[in-house]
Amino acid sequence: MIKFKVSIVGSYPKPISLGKAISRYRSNKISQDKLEEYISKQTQKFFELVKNVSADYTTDGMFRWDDVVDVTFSYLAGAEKGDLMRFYDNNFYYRRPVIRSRLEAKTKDYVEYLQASKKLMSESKVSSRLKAVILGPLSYLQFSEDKYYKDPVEIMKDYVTETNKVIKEVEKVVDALEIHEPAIFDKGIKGDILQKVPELYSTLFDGIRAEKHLITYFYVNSRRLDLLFSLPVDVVGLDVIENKNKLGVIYKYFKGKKVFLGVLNTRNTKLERPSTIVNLARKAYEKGAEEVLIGNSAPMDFIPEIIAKRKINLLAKARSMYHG
Amino acid sequence: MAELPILPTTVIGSYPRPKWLREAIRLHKAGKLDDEEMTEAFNDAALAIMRDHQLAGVDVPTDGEVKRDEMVEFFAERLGGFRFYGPVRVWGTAYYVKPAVVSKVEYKSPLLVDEFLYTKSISYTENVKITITGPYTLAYWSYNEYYKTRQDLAYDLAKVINKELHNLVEAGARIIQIDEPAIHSTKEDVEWAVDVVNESLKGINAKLVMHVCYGDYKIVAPYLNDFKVDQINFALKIYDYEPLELFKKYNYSKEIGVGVIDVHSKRVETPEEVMKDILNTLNYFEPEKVWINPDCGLKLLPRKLAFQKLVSMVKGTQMAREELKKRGYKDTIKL
Ligand SMILES: [Zn+2]
Repeated sequence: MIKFKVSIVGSYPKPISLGKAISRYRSNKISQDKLEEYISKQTQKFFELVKNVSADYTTDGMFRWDDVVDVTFSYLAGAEKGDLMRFYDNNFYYRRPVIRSRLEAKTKDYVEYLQASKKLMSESKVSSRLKAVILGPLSYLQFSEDKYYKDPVEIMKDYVTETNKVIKEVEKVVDALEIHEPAIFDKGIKGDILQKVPELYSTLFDGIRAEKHLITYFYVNSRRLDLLFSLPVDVVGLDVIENKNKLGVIYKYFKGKKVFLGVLNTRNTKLERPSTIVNLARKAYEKGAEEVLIGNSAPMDFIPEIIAKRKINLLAKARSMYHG
Repeated sequence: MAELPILPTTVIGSYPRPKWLREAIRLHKAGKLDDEEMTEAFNDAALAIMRDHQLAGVDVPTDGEVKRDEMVEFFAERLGGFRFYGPVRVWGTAYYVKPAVVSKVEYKSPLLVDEFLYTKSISYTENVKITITGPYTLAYWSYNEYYKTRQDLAYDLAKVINKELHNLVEAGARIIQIDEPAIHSTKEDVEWAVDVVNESLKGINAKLVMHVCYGDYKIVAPYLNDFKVDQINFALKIYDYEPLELFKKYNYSKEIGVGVIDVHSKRVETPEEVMKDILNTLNYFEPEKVWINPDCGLKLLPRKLAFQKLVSMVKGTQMAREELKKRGYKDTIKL
């Protein structure tokens, strides 16, 4: 029997105690060491959960970052934090990067943070493969404000060239890369920009050997699936739980592909049925997928921690149902 | 019939809680203040805020919503069908409580009648305003585990809100503001969202106001005249009044509450600036149809700044009234 793999994607909800610690740190009320203690503690707790569901792949829960855009500030210089912007149709906001000078790789910080996570992982005896989260070039373009380049393609070119340098260091630490590219389905992106995306991805991954998981989420724009499945990655991820009405079209692309199915809706507290999850995975194999990974469909910040935990546990339940 | 000065000034609703009230709430949660003492503290805070509004010279005040923690949570806690799992983050290290609808929503007992009666009893004017979160926003800012669609949930919430509005009118409420900050969140929903809001207002005999703030006004602009309210107030200062063109384009014809104070900025607007902004608005709307308010609730500002901003708002409005007098307008309007 073919088995599906479990992959935990993006960020796990930060408990309010950690939120308080971070805000105390930011107002200089606690030291960096103290903050690191809080982050380690939450990361360890998260890894316990990862271990319980025997996830094949996981991130470190991203407790250090406000959101997926925030991560970019740790590996790129040239942008500063701007206004709060709404993250798609969620009551969740990120700080828009305002690009003020040429984007440049900063390799040290991100690598060190990932090393710390890797260490915690081995201490907790978690055997899952660790993924480093990187924001995709198109999403970076869409989420940022340009005060320097004047040309969107130039921004993306520098973004991928510089991020490639970061990834070269990052891949020495982690087992896989998780590229978040939700903007691939954004409305109103011009054709000449979309056309450049495959080439940009080639540059992004130039000389990179680590496994590449491309993750998209929320609304699926069927007209962009050709583009998505043409990109040079190992695993293509889609939010299937919120796009059940488009599965017919989506399945057509699965043949011979490794796919990640977002089967847990991270925007609603309602728990999925394990049988629904199993059926989604089974169907993907029936449609010719070479390998199926399942997990949460998007970052988990939109639901309370207790619900995120219950949802992640459903993955183990689904696996036991499927594998008997 | 009650009269108001032309360009009546009002608030959107919330006002910063005095620090001592936050302390009292903490003590109450820790079991160190009993329920009666907590009620007394809430009432005292309402008195203090009402006095702030009076000193600033606001024509149509509220109690600053000091008794409510949050605009969805407060109602969800008091209705049947909701459940709380814990806080979620909205950005950075800011959290809020988003309730989940787990069974049919039900009206159990009046939500705001006590609050309104107390506010009325301490008010310096009979023109007090009571605010209530609207059905679309309640639905949008909750997880839906029970209803087939958000629309189904919103319609049931409209029935619940309608019951409460009837009770408020019976208790003497004459100016009611329905808060729908989420109304323009999702383009696909707007058409039915208008109907949901109207459903909640059915048979309500009071001056009805709707509050809409941050977001993309383009989504809701074509529908503004369809809301069965007398007035809609908007955050406008933060957008430098650009949406006025949009409202004109769609022939918006109800009264407008003009946001002249940016509640997200710590800079206090000057009275001259407020006057200039008001006079600019009068290029788009008849003065008899214009009310003056901040962009949104003042809750997140330090209290001192909130007060100074209200003072500027009122002073600037008075200056604009002088100008209107010169132009030959009467100095009062009917409520
Ligand atoms: Zn507002």
